[in-house]
Amino acid sequence: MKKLTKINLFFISMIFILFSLLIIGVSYGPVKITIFNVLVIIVQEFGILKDIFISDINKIVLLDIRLPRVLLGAIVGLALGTSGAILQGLFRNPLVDPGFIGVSSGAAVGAMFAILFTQVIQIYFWNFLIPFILPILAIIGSFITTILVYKMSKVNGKTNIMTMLLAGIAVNAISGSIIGLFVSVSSDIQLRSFTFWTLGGLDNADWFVVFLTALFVTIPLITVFKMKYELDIFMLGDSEAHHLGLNVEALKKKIILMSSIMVGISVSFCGMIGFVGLVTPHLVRLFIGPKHKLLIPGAALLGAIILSLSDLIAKSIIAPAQLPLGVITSAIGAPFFIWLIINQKKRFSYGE
Amino acid sequence: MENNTLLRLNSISFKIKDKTILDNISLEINSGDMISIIGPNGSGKTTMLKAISNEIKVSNGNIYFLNRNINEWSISELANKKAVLSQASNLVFPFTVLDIVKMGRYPLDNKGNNLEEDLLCKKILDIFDLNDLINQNYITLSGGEKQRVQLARITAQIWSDDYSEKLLILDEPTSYLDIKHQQSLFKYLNKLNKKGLTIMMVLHDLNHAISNSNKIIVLKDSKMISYGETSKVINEELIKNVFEIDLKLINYDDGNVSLIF
Repeated sequence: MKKLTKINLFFISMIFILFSLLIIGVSYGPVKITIFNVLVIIVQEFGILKDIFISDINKIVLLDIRLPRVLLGAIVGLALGTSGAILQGLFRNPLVDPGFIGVSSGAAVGAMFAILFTQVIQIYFWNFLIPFILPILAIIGSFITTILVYKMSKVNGKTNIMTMLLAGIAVNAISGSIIGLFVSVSSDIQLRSFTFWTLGGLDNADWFVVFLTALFVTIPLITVFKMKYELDIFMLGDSEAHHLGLNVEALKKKIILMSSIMVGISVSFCGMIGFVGLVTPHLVRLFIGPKHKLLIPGAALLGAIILSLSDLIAKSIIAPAQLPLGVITSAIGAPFFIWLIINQKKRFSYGE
Repeated sequence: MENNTLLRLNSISFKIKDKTILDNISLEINSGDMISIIGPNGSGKTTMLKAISNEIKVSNGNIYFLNRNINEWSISELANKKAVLSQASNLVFPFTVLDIVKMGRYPLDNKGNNLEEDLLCKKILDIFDLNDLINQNYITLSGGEKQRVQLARITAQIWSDDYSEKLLILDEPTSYLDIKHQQSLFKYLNKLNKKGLTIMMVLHDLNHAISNSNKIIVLKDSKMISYGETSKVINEELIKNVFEIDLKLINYDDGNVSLIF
């Protein structure tokens, strides 16, 4: 009973913090909108309190610029937190982050491929499919890299931390050079900025992107949550899970596919935002344990919180200019990673 | 005890590249048997258990479980009929002892989530002397404690009112256990066996094997040297040949046998 209340408390405070961050996120910026006005504008959209006067500038800034941006940030955070949690599960290794193991950069390569060759691709596709080409190629990119790194890091049926990180470095290097090549030969306006792809940002946000991202994130999120008990069993080891009646190979494929979809869609619109997938599941496990029934929703919520908070910091720290989002997430995540390494030194020295 | 065939191996072989690990082994195991597999290192004991538990596919031959080819069974059907203790299981994430024992109930489709299941898991934890560790983080346990948690997990999986069609497979169940827990483990396994459960295990301690099984399989160099009732299989000459050691076999008045090395 005592534990139950602790878990409830965790989720209630997570939801409260996320909601507050979203409200602060939309009210903060060069055009100040008071929190009261934010609430009024949102409520007015549903046809209530129409008689309170709000300036059009406030409405446009809030509804067309800030709300999509803040929502995109929350959705992408949710996707990165969740995929971090299930990728750590797949590798049975708490040091996994979609960034380290090359999954994000694979997605970036796919996305850039789509942008560069849109005109060629357009000839072969129906028009209504065009907006989906970018996310789908990004998803394919991250799918390929996940499989590559997973296969490479298996030694005698176990994933080895060293080989995994080395495989990640190798894949990241390859993707990095492809990204560099694409950026330097491209005149396309969307490819202009190298920092956008390597450090990420929410500047692409509009309602279309928000809806598309929400669609591509919701489906895997539900699928992953349905596999919660299977994921727990899988933690025991391949052979143990097999003997408990779990189709291990099918589960692995599902994890890789679902995390590729979530990472792919995030990267295709927001670039590579590092460390969220590493930090989030860790903190959640610390508070409410490793069971996926709680870990998945917990990591989704905390991921959204970390990303929303990072974006708020990125917007405010050198206002009116803004920092790339990845600078903030790395500034939070990298020291955390160092702490993890020091903490796990003993296991490193045994090479396990 | 009924004498139904639970498991039949039809001249099975297992090869990795050119290396033969199991060479043309045929045998039948009846429901209610308690069987030990003995043999020197690298003789194929663990591989044999893996083949029987459908973890690896044999290169030649067929395995029939309850008169049905083991390849025709689905993974989840088999998980309802047999439980397997593998060697050394490593966990990275901080699950509690109770979490892990409850995972044993996963094949039964109720995910261990009601009060009855809770009581059952607590009962099993009690059998393995784990009551004080229920909410302990598995990673922090000692080797012997971990082994007992894994034993509790597979006990939860095999738990049933009717053991006649169930098979428990144990690879070195006494690893890391102190003498007290070794004794209570065998006491409990014998109790389950009396209720009709078929048990197959790989044991290193020959005296454990002799006193806790009605039949013994002897493997050497990938071949089955002998299989039959314990008293008929075990004799000084066979053990000397198989393990290449000197020993003495003592017959007690009550019919028990033990080996001195």
